[in-house]
Amino acid sequence: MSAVAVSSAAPRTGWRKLWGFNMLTGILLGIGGWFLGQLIGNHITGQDVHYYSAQAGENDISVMLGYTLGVIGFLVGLGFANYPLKRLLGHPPALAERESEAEGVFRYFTLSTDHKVVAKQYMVGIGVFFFVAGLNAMLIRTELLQPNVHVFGANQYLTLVGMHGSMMMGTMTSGLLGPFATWLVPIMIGSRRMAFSRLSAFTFWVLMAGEVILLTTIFFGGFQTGWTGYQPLGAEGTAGYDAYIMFFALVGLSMCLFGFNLVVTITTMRARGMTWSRLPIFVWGAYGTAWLMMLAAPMLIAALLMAGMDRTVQTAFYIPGQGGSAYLFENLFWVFGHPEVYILALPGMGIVLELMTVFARKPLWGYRLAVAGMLGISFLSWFVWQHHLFVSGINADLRPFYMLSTELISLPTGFIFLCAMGTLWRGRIRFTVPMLFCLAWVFNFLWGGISGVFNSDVPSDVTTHGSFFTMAHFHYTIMGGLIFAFFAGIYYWVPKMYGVRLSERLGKIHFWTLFIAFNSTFAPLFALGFMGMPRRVVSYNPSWQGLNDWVSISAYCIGLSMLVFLFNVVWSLVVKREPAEVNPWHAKSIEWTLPTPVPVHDFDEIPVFDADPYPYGIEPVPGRAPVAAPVGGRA
Amino acid sequence: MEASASAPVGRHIEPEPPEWQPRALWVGGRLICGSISFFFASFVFAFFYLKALDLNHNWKIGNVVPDAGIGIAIAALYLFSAVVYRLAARRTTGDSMAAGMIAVFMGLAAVALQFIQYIVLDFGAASGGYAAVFFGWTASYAVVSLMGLYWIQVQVATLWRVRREGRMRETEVPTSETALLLAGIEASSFYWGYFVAIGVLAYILLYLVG
Repeated sequence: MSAVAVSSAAPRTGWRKLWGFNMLTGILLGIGGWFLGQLIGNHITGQDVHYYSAQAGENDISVMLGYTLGVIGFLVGLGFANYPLKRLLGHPPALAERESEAEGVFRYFTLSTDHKVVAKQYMVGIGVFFFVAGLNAMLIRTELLQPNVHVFGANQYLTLVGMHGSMMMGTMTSGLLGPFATWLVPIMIGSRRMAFSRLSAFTFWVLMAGEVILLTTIFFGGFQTGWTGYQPLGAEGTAGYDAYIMFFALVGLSMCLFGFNLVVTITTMRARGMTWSRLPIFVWGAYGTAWLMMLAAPMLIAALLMAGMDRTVQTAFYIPGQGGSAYLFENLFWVFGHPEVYILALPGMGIVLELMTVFARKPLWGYRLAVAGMLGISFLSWFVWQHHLFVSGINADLRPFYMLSTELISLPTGFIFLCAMGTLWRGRIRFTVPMLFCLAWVFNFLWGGISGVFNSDVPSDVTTHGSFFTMAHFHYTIMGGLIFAFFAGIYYWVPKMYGVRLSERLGKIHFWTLFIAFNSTFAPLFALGFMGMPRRVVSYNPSWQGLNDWVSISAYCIGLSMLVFLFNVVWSLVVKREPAEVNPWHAKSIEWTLPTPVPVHDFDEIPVFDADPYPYGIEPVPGRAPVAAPVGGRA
Repeated sequence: MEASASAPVGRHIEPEPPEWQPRALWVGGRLICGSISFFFASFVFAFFYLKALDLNHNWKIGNVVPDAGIGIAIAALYLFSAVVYRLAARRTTGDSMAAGMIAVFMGLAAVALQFIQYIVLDFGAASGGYAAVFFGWTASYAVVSLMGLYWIQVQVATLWRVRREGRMRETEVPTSETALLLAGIEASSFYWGYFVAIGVLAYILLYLVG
């Protein structure tokens, strides 16, 4: 039995590549699956409902079956059924599929097990839906230019809010780990692949299927629940809510399996010498996050399964009049939902600390403290979810516990800040574009964290709950934390991933416009929240229009800064294509010792690690490599 | 272990350590138990939450009592399946193949019996909080169990093919091939045993406590 690769078939060439298992086949089978599901659903219920007309919301069974069979068809078309069927017939394991460079660009449109291909798929796929979700935010702010309804109407506005929130939260759960952990973690620990490489590809394509399904909600009347999908609004919603359920369930599946794969990879596939105390801090961030993904996401899937059953087979999990409770959903959702916040934040912390050592030219200050901080956040995030329900009539005796547990989480978060500051202290700081994004992360996340104390504190939360204050808080943590770390990672690692360096000048324009516009957009929301402006309401007090218009114009400026980034990507990666140096940042971590582009097999020999990961400012011992020296394709 | 198909011709590529993949299976088998624990913990939470609330006395609307006989039969089939497979997995690969086939058969029978129970039940999904938890938990348990059965069947089929092709050497030090196979059997039997333990918990809550 071969544990590694055996793909005997020669790659197809030219137009023949369109035949076989690829994205095109997947889309065709996905559409076929959708119609088949509709047909079966209509047959089961005896209702022939055409959702494209005006009868939305009448046959959830056919919609759910349509989505389910559509996703299955899509995955079968991509080739995900082939290997499981072969294994069912007793064929030996084969870990590699469509990894050869001879497959060309078609590798990116099908099931490929090369972790670097999957990472790039993630980067582009997530990028596309990030921009779609961002566009929704622009539309929201357009509606809020005037205090009364003037563009979309209340239902459409709420659907936009829900799509923006769901897509951002769902997409960006894998926003940092998808591209960066998939690409970097195997290399950083001295492995050539993820433990279950086919699963890695599966998590990406399932996520993409979910994103497309969410977009289809607009054909079915949308959903008015926001990203949290609260009951009983959900149960009362049109078939557009089915799209929400299916989307988030697929996101949950993708997250769970991705986390599982990462934990197994990091636990079992570290090369010789890569002890736990030598793991790069980014890998620790990924590890802490992966545990959360693996364990929290199943609760989301279960909560949504219950919601789906209420809408299809008439169970009553969330129907108060029939023995259910809407609060059951709220509880289950937030048991997942609060760890989810740290799923978004932790990888960003890892990236920022990783990059600060490079651009401060110092070893990471307080490595063990930073690890303790990350694991502490992971652990404590399980004990805070009830703070989302402070004003939902929970037992008053429970409030102090959840207030304290939430405030306690600021301690391990403080560790991360301390380590960041300690690393910068007396460092030889280089203000490159990635470093600027890291420094902005510190600023933004600090504000997000401080404002979070107000939300964790019962008396102040009762006042600010459900207001724009809360919205400002989580945009500071999630956008200010995650998105800035995302761009730091892009500017830093793209030269290695794509072999082309992004324009530094355009990058700085992107950074400054984004940083200023971001703060100009979200800082005034704190004030609006204190004035009492509620979230998810299409109209507002006319006296707040001035601030709202300011915020909307600032939000457009964020959009413009994203266009600068897009232009930079197209200009640098497509038009100019200036080859990047092998190690443009003079970094000392292992990925920079590999050639550009990195070969499919990463290293000729499995590296052996014999030193700490951040030997900046430390003179190398003669005859001893500071980090593993991978043989094969020398830098 | 062979080199990757994508390796450059004529260049020596060091294979990855042979113990990595078996170790990944061992750890993966345990971790996936964590994931399913949290999945089914949602139903445990729903059970106690709705039972404790008992809104408008709608925990059970009408005569909501599932047939305990069918419940015992389903639980017994799962339990027998897990015990046989787990015990065999600790012995020889020959035992594992036969036990794996029995386990798959018993597991499929349990799934079939579950769906037969839905047909003969005296209450519907809308009969209160208990009915919701009953249908939700048992149906998702049956569906998830198919994945475990698939995993066991893969081990059985692989064993069958390896033995047929004469590549199994039980008396020697395991090759990387047999080590991987044994790791798969061990991991799948551990997972299946754990999964069935959750099923027994479901039986206790839904039939005895509920």
